[in-house]
Amino acid sequence: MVAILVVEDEVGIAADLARLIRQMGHTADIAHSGEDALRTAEVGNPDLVIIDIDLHGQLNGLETATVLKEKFALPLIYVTARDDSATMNRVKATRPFGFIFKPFKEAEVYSAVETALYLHGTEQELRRRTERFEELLEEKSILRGEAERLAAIEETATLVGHDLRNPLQVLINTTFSVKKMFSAIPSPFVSDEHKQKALDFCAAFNKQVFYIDKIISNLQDYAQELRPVKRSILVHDLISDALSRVIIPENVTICIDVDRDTERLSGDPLLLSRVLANLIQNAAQAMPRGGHVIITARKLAGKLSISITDQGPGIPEEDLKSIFLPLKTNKAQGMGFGLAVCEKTVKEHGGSVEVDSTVGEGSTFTVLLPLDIE
Amino acid sequence: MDKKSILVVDDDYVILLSFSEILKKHGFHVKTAATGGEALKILELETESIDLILLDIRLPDIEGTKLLVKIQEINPEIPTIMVTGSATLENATEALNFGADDFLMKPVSPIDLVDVVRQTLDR
Repeated sequence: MVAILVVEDEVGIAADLARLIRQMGHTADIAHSGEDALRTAEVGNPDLVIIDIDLHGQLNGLETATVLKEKFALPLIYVTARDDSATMNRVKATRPFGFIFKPFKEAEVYSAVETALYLHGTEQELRRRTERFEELLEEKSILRGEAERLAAIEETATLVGHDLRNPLQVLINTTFSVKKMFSAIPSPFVSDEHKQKALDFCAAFNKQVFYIDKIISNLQDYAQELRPVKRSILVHDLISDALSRVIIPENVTICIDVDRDTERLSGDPLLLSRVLANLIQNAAQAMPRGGHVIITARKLAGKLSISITDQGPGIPEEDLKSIFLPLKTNKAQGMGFGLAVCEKTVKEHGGSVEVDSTVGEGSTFTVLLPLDIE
Repeated sequence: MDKKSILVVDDDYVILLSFSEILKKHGFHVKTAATGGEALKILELETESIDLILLDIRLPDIEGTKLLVKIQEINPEIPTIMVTGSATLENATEALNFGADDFLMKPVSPIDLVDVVRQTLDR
């Protein structure tokens, strides 16, 4: 059943049309002038308008129809006594779905209404599909842009990674030699203070080299294909192992809330431990003034959920979208690969990583992993 | 105890030089080879006098793993440590599968290098 608005100033014809429409099982509202039609359309939300071209009053038929079309996007059928092409051309711009010529027969009204409803439905469907198609097209082009970017990163990682490690080795070896050289100079020739300074420089230098090495490792981790070697892991062990990989500043407290008898999960212990270590390290780094990192593990709808919560500054909503993309980072000293590698690893395990963050309160990263069902 | 002799194989001249320096400082004899061919020549001529080989996985003339097989043909007793530039686990396990005794990932700290060399020699 549809609601049809009849706009006709000849009272008898309006009543006739309304009667026929009701016989067809639809509802009919009648408006006797253009202004009346606009008011009724506003309140009544009709699905279709049947309107007299030669309407009298302030607004003529064409003007009223134009407003109804533009304002309410309503499908139109014109009623007219003149079946000349000039009349029809006059109203063409409003794209009517049909004409009813006076004097009309019941069957003509019936077929005009049904055709108009059908055409309108098809047009709506077409519009919906076009919109969906455009959305998909946009999504795809974003995905493709991202894929191209990732491919470029992977290529760079492979090319650069290996070639950087040799020079790094040379740098490390050189500082070794410099250290040995300085240590071997007998004290009358160099003061202990200077000797110590030189050794400190070497140590600082080495630290930076290993930092560069870490960046390269992250880059390569991201670029290479992961092949997890899965086995059954006790969640408790996984978290302990992850914690042993992380340096926690003194002002940060770790709170662990894991059920003693927590389930086992199936995965690569080394890869997963690195994921958790990375998230825990991030959480600790988010709180330079100290605070709590809360680690919880729970069974959740057939999966194991491990959450790491910090009390840091939180992540603004606009940054959350791109947080798992490589080379996007907010940390002063970050590689921008950590989270990307985490997500990649977890996805490879058939799981997912979710982030929930409130600016000013902190962030929670949740890793969902399949349980080991043995 | 006799000074142990180590053959370092790496196509990077500075690496050869600096690894030699580190190992010499820790009381080892060092011989160097810049290619797989050179390494094999040294082994054929004086296989008795080499106690351990430090072998880069990527060489200009032969793949490190293939060289490993040839080395074992000449002297299966000789312990070998593979050194790899790409920190992928696969490379490392691959090296072990080919019969390497241990592996090191560049960049390796001098302490770790000497530790691994000593441990391998002790085995």
